Amino acid sequence: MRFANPKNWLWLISLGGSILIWQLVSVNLNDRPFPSASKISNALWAMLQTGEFWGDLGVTFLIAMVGLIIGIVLAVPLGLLVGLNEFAFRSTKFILDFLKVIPPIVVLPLVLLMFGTTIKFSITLVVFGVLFSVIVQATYGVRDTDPVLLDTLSAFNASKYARLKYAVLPSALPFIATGTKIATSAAVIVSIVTGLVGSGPGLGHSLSVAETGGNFPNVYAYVVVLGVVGILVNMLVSAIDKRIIFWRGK
Amino acid sequence: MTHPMRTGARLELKDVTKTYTGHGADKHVLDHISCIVEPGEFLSIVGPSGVGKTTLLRLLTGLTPVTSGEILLDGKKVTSPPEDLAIVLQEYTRSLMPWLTVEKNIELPLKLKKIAKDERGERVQSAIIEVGLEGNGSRYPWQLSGGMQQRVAIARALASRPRILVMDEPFASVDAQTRLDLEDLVLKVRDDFGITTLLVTHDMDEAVYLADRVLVLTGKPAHVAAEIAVPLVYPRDQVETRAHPDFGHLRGEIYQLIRGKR
Ligand SMILES: Nc1ncnc2c1ncn2[C@@H]1O[C@H](COP(=O)(O)OP(=O)(O)OP(=O)(O)O)[C@@H](O)[C@H]1O
Ligand SMILES: [Mg+2]
Repeated sequence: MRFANPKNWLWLISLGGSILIWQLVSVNLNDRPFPSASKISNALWAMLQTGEFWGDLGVTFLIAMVGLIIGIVLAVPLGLLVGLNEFAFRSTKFILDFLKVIPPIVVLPLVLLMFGTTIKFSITLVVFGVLFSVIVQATYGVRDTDPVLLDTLSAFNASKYARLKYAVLPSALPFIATGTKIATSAAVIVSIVTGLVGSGPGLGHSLSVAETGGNFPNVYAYVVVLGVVGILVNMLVSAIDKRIIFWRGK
Repeated sequence: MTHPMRTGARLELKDVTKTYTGHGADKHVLDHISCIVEPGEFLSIVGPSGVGKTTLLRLLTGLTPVTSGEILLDGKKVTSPPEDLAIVLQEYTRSLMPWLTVEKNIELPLKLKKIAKDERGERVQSAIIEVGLEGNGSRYPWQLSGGMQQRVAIARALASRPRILVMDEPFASVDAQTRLDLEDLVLKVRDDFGITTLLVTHDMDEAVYLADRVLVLTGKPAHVAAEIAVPLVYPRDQVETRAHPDFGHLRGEIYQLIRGKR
């Protein structure tokens, strides 16, 4: 039984404990930057009743998903092409590894100049945050194709296209999925950051407004929401990954 | 179940030499190998590790080009993988697609050959029955034991109805009992279809037990040390055949050849 095993509800205990400790500590601290857990939950509850909140949440989610999809659609074919070509792989490896580690926030001012605080700006930045990790993963996936599989197909007189379809693509898929998992977290974070730092639309912006206005219970309420959104998105992506890449590690 | 009668292909190696070039120093692996395998014959190929057995198989399946000499299948020069030939690679577990079920794996070469769907289904089912994998068609390779995976690889080779079957150390990593079962399976397949069969092994007992003839490769570069005819009668029996005085005699002879000329 799932519930009979303490391992399965340990997280609940630690969560409850953390909230309790927060409550105990916060009531003895300066109330302004450290509102009590009860105040935060009240603020959160009130927030959930407003249409504005759900609108923000929707926009943030939209930015993350549209950016993610555009990023993946661009990155997968690029990654496959680069991975298939030894010359392309060698010549782009350094650049890709370099671009991969540049946080999108570095190019934020530039994109902001181009688009202003529009949804285009936010989506562009998310695409930037998604693109390189997926390209790199797809590239590695292609190159990870087992030569034995390729030989097997060659021995059946398979065309280059058939080898691509029956060996290379399925071999690259787990890597692309991993890249997508990494990219999904990145997409959510970047879509919030665009609002937080760049005043783009969405939850990030509302959070920054609450902070400037000194409405700390709301600030923390937003943080809680963001955390929950992050967890849910991760769970969703992991579940999809498990379904599609059922042979992973086999 | 019907087994359309087929005849095996005739294979001829004429002065086949292979030198790997590139990636540093050239490596001369095979030196003037000549050999004829008659239709329906079972030839075992033995030799010490690294002598060039896999290389030889790759040459005659057209996966790797010869440096000089000729390989003829039914008189036709082999330059690319021939229609009539099927191979079971040394790394058979890795040769199965983990994302495809057993049935889909076996079906894949038929799909590549653009064989009609109904016919594909029939062939897959009869191949599954031939290797004794009934009821496992919709499982994935990684859900099967090593011996069963090897059966899948053999079934996949058989489904394309080859006239020559080539296997590279097919039973190297299965347990002893499974190995005996698979040996007998391979003999049954040869009997059922009359296909020419080539099997590489490092096990001299296995080489003798299975074959009409054993090709012994030794040396660096490798040459044919001997071609030893095996006069033991078919059908062979794991107990009786191995107990036969000629069996011990033959394996001793091969052992001498390999140990003496290493
Ligand atoms: N692609 C290659 N390029 C260069 N050398 C190679 C290549 N493939 C094999 N060789 C070399 O050729 C020799 C014969 O290799 P091969 O794999 O044919 O031996 P084998 O008899 O099958 O060995 P084993 O019994 O271990 O499978 C080895 O020395 C190996 O290092
Ligand atoms: Mg080998």
